[in-house]
Amino acid sequence: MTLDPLWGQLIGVVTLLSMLAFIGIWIWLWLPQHKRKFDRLSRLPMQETTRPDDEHEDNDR
Amino acid sequence: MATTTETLNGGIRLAASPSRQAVLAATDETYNDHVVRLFLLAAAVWGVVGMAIGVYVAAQLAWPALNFDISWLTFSRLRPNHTFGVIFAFGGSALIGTCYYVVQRSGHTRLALPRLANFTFWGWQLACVLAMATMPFGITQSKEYAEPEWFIDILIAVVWVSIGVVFFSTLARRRIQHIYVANWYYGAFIIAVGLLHIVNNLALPVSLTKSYPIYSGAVDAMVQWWYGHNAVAFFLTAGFLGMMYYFVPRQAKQPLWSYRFSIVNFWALISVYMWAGSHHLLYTALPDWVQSVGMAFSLVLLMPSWGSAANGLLTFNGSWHRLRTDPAAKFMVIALVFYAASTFEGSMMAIKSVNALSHYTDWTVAHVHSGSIGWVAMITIGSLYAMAPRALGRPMHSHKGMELHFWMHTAGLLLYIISMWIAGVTEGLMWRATNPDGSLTYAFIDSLIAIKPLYFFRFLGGLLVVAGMGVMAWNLWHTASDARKHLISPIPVPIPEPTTHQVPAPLPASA
Amino acid sequence: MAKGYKGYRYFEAIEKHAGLLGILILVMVSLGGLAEITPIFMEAHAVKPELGVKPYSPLRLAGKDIYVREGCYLCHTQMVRALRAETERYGGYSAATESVYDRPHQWGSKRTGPDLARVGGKYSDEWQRVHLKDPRAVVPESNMPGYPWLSEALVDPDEVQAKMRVLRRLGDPYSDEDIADARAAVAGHTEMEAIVAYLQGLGIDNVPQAEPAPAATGAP
Repeated sequence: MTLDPLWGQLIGVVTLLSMLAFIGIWIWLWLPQHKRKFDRLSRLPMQETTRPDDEHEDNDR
Repeated sequence: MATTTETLNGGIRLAASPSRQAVLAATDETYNDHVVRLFLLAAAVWGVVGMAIGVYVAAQLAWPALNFDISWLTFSRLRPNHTFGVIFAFGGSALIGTCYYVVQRSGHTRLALPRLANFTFWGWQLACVLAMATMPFGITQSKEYAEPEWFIDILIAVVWVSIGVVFFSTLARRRIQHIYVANWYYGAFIIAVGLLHIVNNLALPVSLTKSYPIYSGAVDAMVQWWYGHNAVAFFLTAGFLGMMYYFVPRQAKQPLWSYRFSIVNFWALISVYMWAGSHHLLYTALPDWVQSVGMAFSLVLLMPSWGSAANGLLTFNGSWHRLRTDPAAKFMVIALVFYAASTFEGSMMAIKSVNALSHYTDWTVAHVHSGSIGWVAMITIGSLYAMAPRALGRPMHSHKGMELHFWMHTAGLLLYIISMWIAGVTEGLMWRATNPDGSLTYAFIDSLIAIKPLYFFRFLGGLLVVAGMGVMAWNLWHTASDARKHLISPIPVPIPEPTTHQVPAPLPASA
Repeated sequence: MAKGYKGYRYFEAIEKHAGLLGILILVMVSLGGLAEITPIFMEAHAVKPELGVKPYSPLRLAGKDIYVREGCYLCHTQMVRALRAETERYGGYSAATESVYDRPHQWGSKRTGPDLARVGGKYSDEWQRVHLKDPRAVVPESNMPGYPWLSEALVDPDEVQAKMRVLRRLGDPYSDEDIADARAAVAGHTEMEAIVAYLQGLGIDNVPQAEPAPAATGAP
């Protein structure tokens, strides 16, 4: 069972496109004007709220 | 009731704010933690059950008479119960529970479709119970990691689609413009696992208890390992990375080391993983080119895997002191270390020449358990300990209990994987050893005799891990005492800080 | 700059719309599977059983399904890899043509016990029966469980016929006559006899009959 050459070309093109998309995502993310936005977004898990009546809900000692 | 709402609207504290003085205005919604608590309970129970079955079948490998010649207690009938029990029942319950918890918090919204959410809980538990109750009696498709028969597969598919509907509907009603990255991973986990499950389980029933897959031979093998490998990718990796990306920053009390890096890793991980499945079939009757593609992509895969692990670990940078006080953080750090270790090992084992030695031996078992007991179980346990105080309304019952669990789990893990590494390499070397005249040095049984003591140490390691899970279950049970008596109040959903030029416009505070 | 802004808007659309995010995830995760499985699928019709190899006989079919039911694949592979140490130990390496009638495939992933792809004819029927009942009666160091219940249960002829009909719908070349004759072929046989028949045919009944003994064709 051998690979149809045409199929190989197709896979090659798909791989190339995926790679370009990947590099594009990378460039886009590191554009300086987006830095502040992402820094703000990354604080989301720290914004968890507690109940109004609870004081010690973490496991810290 | 009206007064309660007023109090809730009076203002709520931000848990992580240093002074605990910051106050956010609250909506009149509360988080739906009821279904989260149910999944938390189920995860604890299935964790103990699934791992206990694992210890029992491990004992049978050391002492084969332990099946007592009873069919449904025999290793080959029960092993699927161990794998299904820990992956889908324990891991699945933990994943869906944390997913529901995270999607609400990171979207500042209550879970959509509460009835359907409850159905996903009971439906998933029913599927798990049915699978665990039928497989020991030989009602099995015998497709590794997809053993349950067709009628259970249909139930799983229905429940899975429902989970997707609840999750994406909740995302759609979020009050935060951006979708936090943890949800991307949870979303990929839900979509990909649904796809894998349906494609791999296509079968034609003969009767209620027997079906034949529509694929046969080499095609079935390829489909099966495309499924098997990507169940690891999207169930045991993407899903638990979702957990990691939310709970690690929360327990470290500082944001992700690099949020942008997590997005790069996301797209790389989900697109590369799917190509690598054929590394489970190297040197077999599968076409050569598929094997080579699988091997190449497995090596590429190391990049996003280590990227995610590094991102998680570096998040603790400057916050390492928290490991002294918070056992949940400790579980998470070791989980990330084992995630990095086992993905490195996996990529190496996908290299053809290494695979020639390692495949079919207990090295594979060591690798799988370094990923599952090390990464999957520890990130889950860490997240459960992090989530429980919020979901159950009080700090964990016993701090010492968590510490004890950590050390039992770590010791058991090391005992398990070191013994299986030695066993695997021993088998691999003995199977290929030849005399100067070219004949084989050892009969197959020689390799079994050589590794039998190691099967005993593996059993001990497993015993330690499951005992630790018992400690966790006990600890959670006591922590849940208020929740059981319905003494805890629901947590109000805060109104997020508005952002400039928000598109689409944020939802109004009250529905 | 204008171009960059446009790109930004598009990506913003992705991250802010749950549905679009879902669709993109679906596309990305589908690529790998499509690339690898589609050609195998398309050429699957090219993988025909070798000339003269028939689908499982009724008794061996029953035996194969017992093998599947008991979960033998969890400790035994049926895939001799193209490696010298393996062909030396087990016999000629496995070809895709040998397993075309296996639903599901039994290639396996772990060898707690030895590979079984070429086990047919290596031991006597009697040895197989004793070994399955109590492995340590013939191999004292073995850690294989005993399967004594196999000698007590009878193969159900109706079920075998139903299975053959389903397999025919999936493409296996069973004739009406084959299915009609199946009843007499399995009636009165125990599950033990069925699984022994299955094991004794492995590496013999699924490879061309022309070759004298497949075990002797190991790679040099």
